[in-house]
Amino acid sequence: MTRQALIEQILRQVYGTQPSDDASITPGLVNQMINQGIGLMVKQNYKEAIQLDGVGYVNNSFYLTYKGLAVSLDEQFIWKVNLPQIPIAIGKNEGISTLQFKSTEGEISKPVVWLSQDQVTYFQSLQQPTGKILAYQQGDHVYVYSTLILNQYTATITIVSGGDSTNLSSTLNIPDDYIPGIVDYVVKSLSQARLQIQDAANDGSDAIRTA
Amino acid sequence: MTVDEVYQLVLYSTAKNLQQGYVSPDDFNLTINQAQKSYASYLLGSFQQYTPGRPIARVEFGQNTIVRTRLAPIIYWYNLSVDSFGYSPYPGDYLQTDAMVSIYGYQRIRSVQQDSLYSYYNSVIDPVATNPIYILEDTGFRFFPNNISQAKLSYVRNPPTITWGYTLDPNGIPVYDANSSQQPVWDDAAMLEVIVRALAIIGVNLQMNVIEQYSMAIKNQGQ
Repeated sequence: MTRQALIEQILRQVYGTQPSDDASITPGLVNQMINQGIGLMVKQNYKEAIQLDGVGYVNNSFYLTYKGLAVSLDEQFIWKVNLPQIPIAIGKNEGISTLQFKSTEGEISKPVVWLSQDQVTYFQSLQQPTGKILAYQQGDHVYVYSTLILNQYTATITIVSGGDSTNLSSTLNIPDDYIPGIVDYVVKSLSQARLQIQDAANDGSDAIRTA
Repeated sequence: MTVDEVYQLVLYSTAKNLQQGYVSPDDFNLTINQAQKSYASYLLGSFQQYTPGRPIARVEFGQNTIVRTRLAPIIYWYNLSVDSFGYSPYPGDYLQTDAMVSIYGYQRIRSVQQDSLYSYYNSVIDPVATNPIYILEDTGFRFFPNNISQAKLSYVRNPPTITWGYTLDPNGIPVYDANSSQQPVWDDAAMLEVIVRALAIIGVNLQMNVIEQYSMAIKNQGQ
């Protein structure tokens, strides 16, 4: 299913028909809420895993691999990769899975070893493990500790992601069993917004309301 | 229904043959045009029927396909040229906007009221650069962004003037002239609605209660 298809489905549910041209609930707004709904569903999947299996994890279906990401120098021996989005905040770093580097010849490095934020503070006092690349993620950046010159490589990264939210024609990377949850969240939020009485007069006070 | 048939029906309703009233061609042309404007206004919706919290008339444009079908003869497409300030004048016969879309691809251009222009103009979720908007001004539309250059407007126009054209015979009696006449654009069902409105006006003018009552009965109960 593409994002556009899900957006259309949600709009038709909210309006009960095809929305008119001056509909205030726009595809852009729905698209933004879908991203938030995806986060909600990933968290639910994570919690369900703990409840059922006793171990927190996210189903493989939620992960997506992005290739060809540029690597830049941040500070000495610290390299930075910009992520396409901030990974979902589950576990310590379950939102981000694999990071590898690829040369122009197609050679691929071993995956980095992830550090959680507390490990970042003390690992530098320890002896560096040989042959390992260490990295941690903050926001939509990944910082990589390495003495290698990494900006001659591109990064391949696997993260929990619903896909490219800027391209509405792209496939939505969400398993079918979690789409109703997203729809439910978005439709409920938007339907509530539609019920609000609107201030239709710019009269210096939003207390006077007309429909 | 031709304008001549309409005129004959009006004459018959005012009981011309019974010498109770006579509607001259000029009076007919005046009243029938007023009546068709009244009918168009009725189909577009009457504000008087709004209730607090529910700004909807009993009959109004966009309500369903029936109303749209009735209005269809006066719904036109028009290509607007937009200047570098984002301004484009209304078409000369403009009455009300139906839809506004981009010239290619039918991408919507949303109508915005001045009192919420700031919010729409500065929206980051729907930036105007990719989600153009327009507002209504006294003489035309104002588009944002102003470099839109063209737009396609579907609008309800003023109904074209109906004219019962005539020549005078040797006795000075008007004789219908199809060549100088302007035919109504309405379908027959709509034309009857126009006629009853014309009769109401004529009834007031002639102070003929019977005509007014007949007109009101049709308006209220249907034809």
